[in-house]
Amino acid sequence: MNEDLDAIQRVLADDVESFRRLVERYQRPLLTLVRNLTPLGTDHEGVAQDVFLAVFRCLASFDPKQSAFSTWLFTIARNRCRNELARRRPVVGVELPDVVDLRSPERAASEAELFRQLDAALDALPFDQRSAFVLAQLQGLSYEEVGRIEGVGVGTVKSRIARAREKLRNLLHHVTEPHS
Amino acid sequence: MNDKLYNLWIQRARAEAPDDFADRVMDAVRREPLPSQQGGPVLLLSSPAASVAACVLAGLACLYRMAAVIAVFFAQ
Repeated sequence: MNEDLDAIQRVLADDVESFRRLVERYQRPLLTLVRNLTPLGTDHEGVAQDVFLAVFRCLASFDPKQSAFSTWLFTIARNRCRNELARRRPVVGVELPDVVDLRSPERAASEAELFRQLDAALDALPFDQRSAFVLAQLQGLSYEEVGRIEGVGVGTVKSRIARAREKLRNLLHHVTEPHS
Repeated sequence: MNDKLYNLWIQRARAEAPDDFADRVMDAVRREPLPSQQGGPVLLLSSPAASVAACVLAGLACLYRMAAVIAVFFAQ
């Protein structure tokens, strides 16, 4: 994107305040990515800030001929999240519930519980599946972009996303639909 | 399959940025050295030609050191 390149060139010319344009444009997708790629309870704002700092420090090495800035940013973020996961994750199995009954009077509470379990199920996915799922389904990136970030082909991306979706949706198979 | 709940969860998983997040990032960025002061080494390391040159130099230094060690035996 030309606006990104313009901001990058200004930053490299020591106009540090132009970096804010990049931060403001990408803070939301970056926070979404970090929040969903790091273990539950991680300080995702701190990790996202570290990613922006890493980007600032090595901005001179960004090559627009190789990739879009967003692809480069998300690649750095994904690698940072993988490191965070490896450093912090205690490997535990997540027990998925047999039934979540949304017909109960506490429907809202049941939904919140279901969402918590979906979060836990996402947290329990293998990193490659989780990353492909988050980049495509939450960030709305194309399979080609996800493939560039993950360093794999489109076929592999599709397969990882399909497996992740299947696991997450299996959880919803058990949900009893409320009477509305 | 409950698409409505699934889509709700997807929406919920998308994070909002706190109002002061960009300010906090910029505060941290301002404490960093200016790009003109830190770009040189990064560029140098990211350049394939510079990487090859560094490897060649390291290899030559290694060969020189090995030759110096072997030369000890021949000198005697």
